[in-house]
Amino acid sequence: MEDAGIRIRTAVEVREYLVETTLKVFAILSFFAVLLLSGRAYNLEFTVSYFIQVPTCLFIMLTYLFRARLKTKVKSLILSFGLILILASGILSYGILASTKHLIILIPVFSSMLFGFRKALQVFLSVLLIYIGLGVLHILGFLQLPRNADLLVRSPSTWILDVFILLASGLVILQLVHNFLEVLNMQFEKAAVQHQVLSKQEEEYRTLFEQTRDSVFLLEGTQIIRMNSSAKALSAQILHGELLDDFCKLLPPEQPNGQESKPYFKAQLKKLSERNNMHFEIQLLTAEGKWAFFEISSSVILTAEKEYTQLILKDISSRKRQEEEIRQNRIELEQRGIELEKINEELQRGNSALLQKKDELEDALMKLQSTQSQLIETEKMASLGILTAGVAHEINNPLNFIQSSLYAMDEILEDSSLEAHIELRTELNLLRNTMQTGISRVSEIVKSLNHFSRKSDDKREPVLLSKIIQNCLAILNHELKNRVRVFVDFLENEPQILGNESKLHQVFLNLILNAAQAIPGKGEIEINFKTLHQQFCVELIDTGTGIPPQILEKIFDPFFTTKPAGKGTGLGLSIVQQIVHDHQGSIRFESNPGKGTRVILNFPILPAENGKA
Amino acid sequence: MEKPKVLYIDDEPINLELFRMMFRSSLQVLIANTPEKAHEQLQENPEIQVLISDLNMPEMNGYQLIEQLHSQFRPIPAFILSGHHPDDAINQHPYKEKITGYFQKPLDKNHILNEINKAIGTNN
Repeated sequence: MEDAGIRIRTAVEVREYLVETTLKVFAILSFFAVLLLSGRAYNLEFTVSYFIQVPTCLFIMLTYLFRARLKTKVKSLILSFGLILILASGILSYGILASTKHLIILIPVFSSMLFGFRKALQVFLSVLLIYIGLGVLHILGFLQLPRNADLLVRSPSTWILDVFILLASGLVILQLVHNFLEVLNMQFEKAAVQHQVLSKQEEEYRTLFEQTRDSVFLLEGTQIIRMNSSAKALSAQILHGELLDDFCKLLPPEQPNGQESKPYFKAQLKKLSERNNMHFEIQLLTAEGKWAFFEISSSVILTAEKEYTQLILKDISSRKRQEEEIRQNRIELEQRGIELEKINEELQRGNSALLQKKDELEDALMKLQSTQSQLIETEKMASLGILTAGVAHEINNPLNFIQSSLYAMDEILEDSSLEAHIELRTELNLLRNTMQTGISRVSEIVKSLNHFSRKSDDKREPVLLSKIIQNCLAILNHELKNRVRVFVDFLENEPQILGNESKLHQVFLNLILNAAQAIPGKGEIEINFKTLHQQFCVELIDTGTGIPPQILEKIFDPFFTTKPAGKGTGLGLSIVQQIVHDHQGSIRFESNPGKGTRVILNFPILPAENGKA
Repeated sequence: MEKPKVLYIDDEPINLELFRMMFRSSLQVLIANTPEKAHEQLQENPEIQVLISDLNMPEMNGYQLIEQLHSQFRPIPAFILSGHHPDDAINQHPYKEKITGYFQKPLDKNHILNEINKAIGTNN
């Protein structure tokens, strides 16, 4: 009883608790029963029932002591048999007067712990039958009370024993009822809590089901047994608000691919039932007569009794439209791509044409530039020619005053009257010679300038450059001998060129003299000839001081000279260039300062038959 | 041997004077500074052996003058004297062929004397 506060959760635990409690009560009562039975037997007599009841009580006490080692069922069995033994022995001895008969009430309690309700009832009825049998045996006189009943009733130990037995039975039943109620109460509370949890969960699931935007149908066959609000709305939309009980009513007769809707739908469902995680698309016709696309995913739900199909319809019309738009866009893009490729090809063609044009233009520009520089050169030379013609005349006239005066002075000095002044004459002679030198120099420059002013002596004849060069070398012998060694690499079958011998003579005289003057001490000049592309090429290579690049640019400029004043006019190379150009030739200088200079001249070769003619 | 008689025509008096002085010992130089003067000199001195004329002159150039003189008198050997190069455009006159020689300034005394002597020699 003190342990009533213990939480009892399961029927097994309740049974165990009951058995334990009963065993405890019985053990205590057995202890007192043994004392009372022994006292009464001592006062009255030792009966058979005494020798049955006392060991039984002792056995129960022993069972109580070793209760921890025994199973509940064994303990129940011991208690049941104990009760039956005590009951039987009491009734055998005292018949109706036996106080132990109250223990019959406890038989169904313990037997119900061992067996089911029916068996317990059978056991109870059997025990009752035994009791009735014993009663019959007493009535018939086969059994007799061993003692004077009055004496037994008046014995206080009998009453005490009776009270104990009643107390024990009452306590056991009370405990039983108490525990039963407690468990019942607890179960109710538990059920209430569970109910609350369940109803909350149910609400959640309902919300989940109802609020899903997708339409959810639960089918049994094709019959709809449940659908969520979306599904209801969908069916109302499609069926003008009619009540829907067959899913197939949602389907139009045919799908857009031409298949009949119902067989297609069923075939798809079948496929789905065979393989999980699949879905298919289907088209439904709305009340407005519009096509709507749905994606259907289904799952087959098997319960013990039935097979259901859950269908989830997702409206994919907008997605379909988007897909269609994307498809259209892609087609358009592909077309654009093709157009762009075409344009690109055209552009590339245009580009290569442009590049070609650009190259042509560049070539033209280069030609123009070279023509321009030639024109500038020609114009420069022409202007110079006009200028020099005028200048020459204007200088020659005053120069003539001096020259004529000098001649006149000579005439005067010839006079005999002055012969006496020999010293004066010597001095005057010195001055006169100086003046004559000055006149000659100026006159020489003016004569050189005349080269620019006219294209005189246009006599052209086939000439051999090697002959002209040999001639030049002969003239320059005094300048070259002992100082400059000249190597000439003559060519067999040297071609002729058309030219003016004296002008070409001037050219090579000038160039060889320049080369010789460029050599400070001893050195070499090498002259090579070769023919290339109808051009006759002459190379003059010296081992002189070379020409620095900044000077190389200016060597053809008229009046440009590096020689000290009076030593050169600065006209030599510009005249040389003029003459070479007049011969449709070219002249080019390459120089390595400190190592020497190479002059390359090219003249057009005279065709052979002309040369012979 | 008598010095050759030469008529020198130039519009610049200084040239006339200098020419006479430089050939003082070798030529008899008569001078004229205009075409009229030249006419007069030739009329007065028909024995003139050589004509020397400047090219550039204000009234007419040397060629024209010599052509005139030749036509009016006789084809006396004539020389043109100028600061211009003989090949210059100004010298490309039709009467050039009839001219004996050409002297470019500054004058070369010996060359002139040689040429004159040659002209007189061949003419005689």
